[in-house]
Amino acid sequence: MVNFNIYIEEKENYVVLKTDGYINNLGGRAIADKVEEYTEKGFKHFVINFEKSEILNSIGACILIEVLDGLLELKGKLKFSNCIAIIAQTMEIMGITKFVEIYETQAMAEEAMQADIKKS
Amino acid sequence: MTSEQSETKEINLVLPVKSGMELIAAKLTDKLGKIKGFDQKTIDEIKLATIEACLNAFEHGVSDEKSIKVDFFCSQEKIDVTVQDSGKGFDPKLVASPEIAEKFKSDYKRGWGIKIITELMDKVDFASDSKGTKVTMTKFK
Repeated sequence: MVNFNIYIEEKENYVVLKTDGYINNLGGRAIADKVEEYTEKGFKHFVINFEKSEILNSIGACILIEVLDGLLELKGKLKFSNCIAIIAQTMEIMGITKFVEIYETQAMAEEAMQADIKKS
Repeated sequence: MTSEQSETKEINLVLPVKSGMELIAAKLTDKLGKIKGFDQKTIDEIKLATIEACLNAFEHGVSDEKSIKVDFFCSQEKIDVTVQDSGKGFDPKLVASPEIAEKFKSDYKRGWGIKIITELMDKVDFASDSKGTKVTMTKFK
């Protein structure tokens, strides 16, 4: 059994998800379920902090595409932070970075998110 | 250079087709890469390519054996990883390269494994017939 956890920080206009563990089908699904839970509560903007995840496989990344697809339909925003090099590289190969900005730190992602929300 | 770094190592694994087993191959890749003095970025690339090849074998290489073979050949200059299944085989030329814009419109968002493997590794070879598929992936230091 592979361990995976998500920690949530609920902000005024957006939600921060902090992943911990291997993002495979189960980890990806856990992220998607959490995003769905919060979109049902009325949130549509999310920051995902990958600091404690060392591996994102293609199945987990496909579920992130599914999450992104759903948020784009809601006109929501998604930002990533704290990705180790191989995770950022995987997202680049898959083209996810054309639609989601990756920030070095959670604080930088949150600052950009707040600016985007203010503009919209 | 230590004697452990200079000698060529061959390690053979047999993994049951079970979720999470690909991490055993990934951990071994990490260990071998460190012994051979590869940098962490390169090790991580080989690890992910190995994971993706295992996942493809788990998914498409289903047979009565319910296991796959993963072999590592490591020297000072390069690491070769082969992943072998006993499935029905496939023609890699018929596998379309995925595009994210098309995936947004589609219910099927998968199909990225081969693209990721070929982008991360220096050389990739597929040998496939009706008795199974063998992927040979090479990364130079």
